Amino acid sequence: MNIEWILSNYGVLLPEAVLTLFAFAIILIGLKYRSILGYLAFVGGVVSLGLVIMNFSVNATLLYNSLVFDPLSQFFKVVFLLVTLLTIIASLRYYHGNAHQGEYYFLLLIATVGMMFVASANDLVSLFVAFELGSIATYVLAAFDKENPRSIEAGFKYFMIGALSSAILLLGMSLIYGITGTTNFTALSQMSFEMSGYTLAALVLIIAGLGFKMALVPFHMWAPDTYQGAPTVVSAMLAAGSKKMGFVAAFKLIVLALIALRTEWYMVFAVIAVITMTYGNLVALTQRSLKRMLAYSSIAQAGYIAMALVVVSYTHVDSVVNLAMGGALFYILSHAFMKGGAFLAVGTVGYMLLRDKIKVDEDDIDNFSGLSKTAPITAFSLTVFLFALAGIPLTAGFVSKLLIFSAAIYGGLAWLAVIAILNSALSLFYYARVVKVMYWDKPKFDLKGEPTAYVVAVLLALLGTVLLGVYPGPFVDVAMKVAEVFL
Amino acid sequence: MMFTISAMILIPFIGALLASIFRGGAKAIALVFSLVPLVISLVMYQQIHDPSTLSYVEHYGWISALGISLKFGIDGLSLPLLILTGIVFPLTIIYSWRLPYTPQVFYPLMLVLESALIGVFTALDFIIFYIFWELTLIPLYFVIGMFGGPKREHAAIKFFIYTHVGSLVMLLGVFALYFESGIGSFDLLSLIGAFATLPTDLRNIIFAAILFGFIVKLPSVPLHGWLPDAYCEAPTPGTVVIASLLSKMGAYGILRISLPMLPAVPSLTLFVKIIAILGVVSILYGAFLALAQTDLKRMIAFSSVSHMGYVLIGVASFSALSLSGAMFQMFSHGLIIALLFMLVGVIQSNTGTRMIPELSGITNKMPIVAFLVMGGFLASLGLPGMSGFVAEFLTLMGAYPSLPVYVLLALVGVLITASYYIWAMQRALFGPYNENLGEVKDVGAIQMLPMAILLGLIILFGLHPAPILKLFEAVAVFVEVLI
Amino acid sequence: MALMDNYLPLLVFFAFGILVPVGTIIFIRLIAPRGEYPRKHIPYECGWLPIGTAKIRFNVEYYTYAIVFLIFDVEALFLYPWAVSYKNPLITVPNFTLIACIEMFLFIVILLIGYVYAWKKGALEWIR
Repeated sequence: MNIEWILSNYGVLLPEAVLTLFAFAIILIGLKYRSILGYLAFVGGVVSLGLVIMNFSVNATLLYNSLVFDPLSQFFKVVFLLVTLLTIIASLRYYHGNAHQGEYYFLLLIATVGMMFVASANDLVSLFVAFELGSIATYVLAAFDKENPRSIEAGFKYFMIGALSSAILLLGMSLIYGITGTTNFTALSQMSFEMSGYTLAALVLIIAGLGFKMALVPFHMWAPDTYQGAPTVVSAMLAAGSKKMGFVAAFKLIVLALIALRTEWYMVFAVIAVITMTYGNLVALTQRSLKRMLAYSSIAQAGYIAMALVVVSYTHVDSVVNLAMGGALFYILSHAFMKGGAFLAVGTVGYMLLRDKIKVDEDDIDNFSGLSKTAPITAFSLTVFLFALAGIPLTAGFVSKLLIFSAAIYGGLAWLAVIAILNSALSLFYYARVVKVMYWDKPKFDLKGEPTAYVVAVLLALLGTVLLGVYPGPFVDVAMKVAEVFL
Repeated sequence: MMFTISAMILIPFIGALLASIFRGGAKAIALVFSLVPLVISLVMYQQIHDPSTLSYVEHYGWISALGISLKFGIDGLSLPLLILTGIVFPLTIIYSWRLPYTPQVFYPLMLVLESALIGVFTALDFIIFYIFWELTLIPLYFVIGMFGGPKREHAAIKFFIYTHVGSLVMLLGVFALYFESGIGSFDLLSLIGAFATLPTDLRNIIFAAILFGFIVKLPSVPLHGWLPDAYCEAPTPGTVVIASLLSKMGAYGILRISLPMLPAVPSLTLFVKIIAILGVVSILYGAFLALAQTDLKRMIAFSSVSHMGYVLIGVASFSALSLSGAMFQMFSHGLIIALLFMLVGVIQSNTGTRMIPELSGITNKMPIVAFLVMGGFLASLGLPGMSGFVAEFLTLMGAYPSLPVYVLLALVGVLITASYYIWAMQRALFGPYNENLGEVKDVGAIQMLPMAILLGLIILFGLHPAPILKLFEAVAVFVEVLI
Repeated sequence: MALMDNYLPLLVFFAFGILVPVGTIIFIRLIAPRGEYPRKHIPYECGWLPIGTAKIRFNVEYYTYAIVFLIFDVEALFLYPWAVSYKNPLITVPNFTLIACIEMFLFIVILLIGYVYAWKKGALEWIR
């Protein structure tokens, strides 16, 4: 038979195939040898990332147009893989010697494969299946520290609410199929809808279903508990990676496929975005647990990203849509670094406390006092991540906010930009508080050295955050180019 | 020639990295690297031909999608401020030589601050300007928070958030300007040029938003809320830099950006009136507040509010004379206030207090400090022969034809200024020595050196202001013609 | 009335569906002999006398055993539709047979890996 034919047609699937292969190899090898698994997973991620980047400007469809490979999908795959790689590096230390490493790395890679397929989905069915693959693996990951009741609670809550949201999403999808008779995004985007009770119900259900994954208020209840309870390396992956799966699904479903409906819904998105960012920031102000604070800040950041959806539903001008979506994509990339890095830095402290046998709540803000003296690299990096999340210049966060806020003003939604800007000023307060604790309070615990693997992961995220802030030009250009898919 | 300004911005930053790595040599590294911008700016001063236009312009791409580029340049307005920055930082570092600040943290922060300030004074792209503008907050946040006084946490966060909000409002105005004009570039001069083409009602809002950001930084009454806490809780080197240079950022922004926009503002007379009133109120209110203080540092902090009011009067006057006076006030005030805060620092560390009633008759024990304090106070109250007099005299004289009432009110301010300084001098320096203070030593040689240099410069530019004033005059005349 | 015609068979089907169980119950009531004796109240276990209480805990291995069985059960089910269509001449997609074979092969291999994993982890051992 003709192998060349297969390779030339299915070659774009190689990144996913490689990752799946490594995942299965890991779970089999993990039955006997455990020490190399993390490195193996890392190699798999790197190879897959290389393949994605090599094929960045591809344009192909597969399996009867149910999968599409375009710059948009490749962009998100890069984000997912970067987050997974950071998580793997930190996990090398955290799960060192754990008896269930094989399952851990397997689930991590499989979750990534699921997220990558979501990025490529071009059909309601493939989207849903990939979404479930990406979700179910993360439910288990959230509960992975099974001796820790918090982790079990995290996984359980995440699972229950995730299952509910999947059901809601699926109901919305079936309504769309019922109305249009097709599940294909390309076909859906060419339909003209009449606004009726059914389309309304379908859209509400889809927004709700995806809103859970994106942790938009009022569908956010699971996020703080899950991010706090889950192992911190997993929280990093959930907040920086898995959440983006919701965003790519929303972009594909709402902006690409249901393009005909988008204008009707500008107010709903606007209200959701405003409530999400305001609520997230207000609640984050009073948190003592740093992971909870980061969870609420993550909710607020989702609100900023959701502004892109508001802008594209409000206006149809190509240049505005391009700027808004390009800004959202850039935001997603930088958020992966900032938030992933922040969680990993918090995880570093948690790990050090665990290692030095200091029995306290792993992420209480008191643990961070005087961190600049006991763990200078972690403290400095966390400072940069927090300032980046607040949108201070020369970090990725500033450029992201610059793009999104300017898109809002460009689109004629100045009031939205004003609210967002006030919000980011508000957020500075709780970020600055953590920096204060780290830099000018007295050290509370005597920590013995920073773990190398964590430091490497944190520094890589730091590199990304600073690079995107200092030299954003090419990356913004790529994001804008990718966003042309939405025009 | 090619990378002059980039070098100026980058070299202190590189110094900061080095200083944080080599702990032992942090002080020496900081001193050397902070001197480099001074040397470069003096070379620029030698070579600049026409101060009214931009020179040493550098232009690199940054975010092409939004039309943001790294554009830098200097003219007669920014060059003196660069020189001021170059003077104040090395002197502050010498001043802090013996102070107990963790060297590998403190000196890098100061150098980063110097980089950011040079960036503010040279940026010709609005977003780059904004980036450096915001970047000055971070090192200061740490300087105040880590090395400041008892209420430093409160002061640091208040300062940070207050000025951050001001800058965000400014940024919003800039966005509106950028998108409404549709020129697709954040270039400072193009944006200012495009301002006149906007719809009239929008122009008022944009102008007000941008002015707001600058006035918070200046600060002018009623937006000076962050100032007393930040000035008093910051460690002396931090206060010196905030008072001497950071407040000049606001003034520089007004002169560089708001002033050229002003003629195109629809409600011109209203805004001119607002600016003039803010100026006069700052002068008077600041002076009265200073009069009421018993804390020497707080008194000087409020005197700073009072003195920055002159810049607003100069802007509102529309006359070249007054404008160049206002610009010269920036330079001269930068030197004087640096001297004054350094002195307060010395008094506090040597006597243990900075409360005026507790400081009686220290002249006997600290003759050098007392001499320097007298010099500084007299310079600040505008004694002829010192730089403060030149600046205030020019500002008020130039503004008299267009704003007679305001100038007369400002003169009342001058009177109050004289009285609070002389009163403070009388109470703190002279009279019987307060024995509760115990044995106090005079200032050491290392700390005396920067203060002596500052006083020398104040007198030098008071007697012979031309070297700096001529740069300002060129710009002011150019701006006046434009208007 | 055309509408009603369409639904008439459905109605008949529905009525018949209800009639059969209800009718059976009534029929048994009418003809079956009835008696009351204690053994009638004990649980029915295929004719054996029940041993112990019904509320016992099952060994957890039972579930893993059942799950592994279920996976292969479903796989076998999935092979039927595949078997009738992988060589279907009506499907004109190029290389369909090849793709279908590879896909099924991948499917079985993935299941096999799961099987090996479960086996090695001891899911198939009754008493550990």
